[in-house]
Amino acid sequence: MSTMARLTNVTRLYDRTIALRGVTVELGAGTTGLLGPNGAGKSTLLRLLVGLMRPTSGEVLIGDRPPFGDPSVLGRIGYCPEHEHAYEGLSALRFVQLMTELHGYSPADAAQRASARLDAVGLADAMTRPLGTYSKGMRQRAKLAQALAHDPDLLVLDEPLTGCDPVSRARVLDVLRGEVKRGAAIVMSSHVLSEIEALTSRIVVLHRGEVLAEGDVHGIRALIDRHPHQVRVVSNGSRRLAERLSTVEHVISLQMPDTQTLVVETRKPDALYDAVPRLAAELDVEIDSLSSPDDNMAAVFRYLTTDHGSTI
Amino acid sequence: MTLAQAVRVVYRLESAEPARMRRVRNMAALFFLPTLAAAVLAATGHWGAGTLDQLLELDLTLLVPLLPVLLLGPAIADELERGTAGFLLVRPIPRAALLLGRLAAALPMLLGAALLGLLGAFVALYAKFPGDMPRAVPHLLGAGFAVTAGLVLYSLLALGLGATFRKRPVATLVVLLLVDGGMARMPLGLQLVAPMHHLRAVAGLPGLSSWSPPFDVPHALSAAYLLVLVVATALFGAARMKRIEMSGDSM
Repeated sequence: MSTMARLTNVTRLYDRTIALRGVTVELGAGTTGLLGPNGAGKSTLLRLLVGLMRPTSGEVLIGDRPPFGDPSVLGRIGYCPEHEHAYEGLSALRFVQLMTELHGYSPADAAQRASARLDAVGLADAMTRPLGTYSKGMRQRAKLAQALAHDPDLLVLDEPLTGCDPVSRARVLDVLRGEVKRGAAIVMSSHVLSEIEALTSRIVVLHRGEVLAEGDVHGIRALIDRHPHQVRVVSNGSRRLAERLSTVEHVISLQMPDTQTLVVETRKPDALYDAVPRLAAELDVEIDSLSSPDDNMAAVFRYLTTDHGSTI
Repeated sequence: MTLAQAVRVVYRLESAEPARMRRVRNMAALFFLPTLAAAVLAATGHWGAGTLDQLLELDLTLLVPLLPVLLLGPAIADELERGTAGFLLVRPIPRAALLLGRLAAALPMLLGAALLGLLGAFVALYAKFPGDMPRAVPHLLGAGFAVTAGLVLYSLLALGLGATFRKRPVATLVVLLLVDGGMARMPLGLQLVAPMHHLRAVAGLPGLSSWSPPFDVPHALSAAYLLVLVVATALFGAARMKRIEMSGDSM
């Protein structure tokens, strides 16, 4: 594996909180998944990679140079942050165009690239609308488009599928597969293992700022499958979906906190992610979002790091 | 990408945000307060030889320092807090472009409004007694220079320090403005350090020190001192931007 980025014994503190502790990781070509519950240090690691912050100690290198404040390195990186905030008054097209111009493209070239990328992530019809009118999933895709538009060598994506509906999720994953084919390296964080598995089997597992495991995904997969997992489905037909899901073998429990939301507890999250869109299509139900509350992964990690830590 | 190219793109990004430009317009509108006051005073006949000076006081000691601080002080800190600054900080551009692009988006409107407001006050006051106008013109030119230098200086200070004191940028900057005003009142030449003292001198206003006679400095030297301060503040802001990190809330 040729090394694209390397973190060597990296520690990062926020005031008195240790976000990362002595992390050493090598990231190569292809896709690397960064898995961990909230507070694991995933976003910190990604911000270090894209030069938004410096390590308190240790070394971060992209190629052979630290990314912080180095334009020659930053020009090779595309970054999709986790937060929802964007330039609310700008259209997605204008936003992506201006971000691309900052990589040295002329306004016309940048507009062309922006338009193509927004089309690729499924925002062709909405690209002239202000970002302030976008849903969470659409914003995610617009942010992804700005990360892709200058054809970076390294794509750093912080929870890029958050809020995406099943159709756009599949579309985004296709786009990312295309980026890997183009030769880009991808580092993608998620607290949903199936999202990472859809792209790669190579993962780095972070917990409480430390690397808990790295390598192939299959070790953790079996444990996660055994552990009950919650999936939240927001749709216009929660009751009908609940009726059908109640007969599915791996579904443990169903709850409806409100008329549109259905919380499904399952032993097979991947099977559920496949089943829900299929059932929705059969029942003519429109799904707004399909998400996995972060508590799932936190529970799995408590499970892994207490009684079963050595089994990863 | 050169600094100038990056500044142009950041400027276009800022200018394309309606909410931000609305805030700039609202702040800029306050610079017409002296015009309004002058019109009322002239219409009611309540004006005298020192009226223009009093309106200039309003401009220089309140509006010129405070409005850039309120508008631009929290600008970069807010963006860092919300995370939107991250979109720009990961680009291969000189980081000073973030500061200068914002300045370029806000300053022309603030400056235009301030100078027009000043000119409006002058016209309103002297329309009734045009014979006094020729003597007041040099005073007006000095005041125009002071307002321009003051706005550039305090805007740069607001952006640079606002990015430094990210927790309470406006409160910190207001304290600094009070220190500036306080120093301008100090005896023993301490007032010579305060930008406010030199802004007043260039505008032809009397010094603020009531403790001892102020040191008289030629206006040209005051103007030169202000220009040096503007350059130094810009360099300070650029240096701050180079070191800035985006920590955010989530880990």
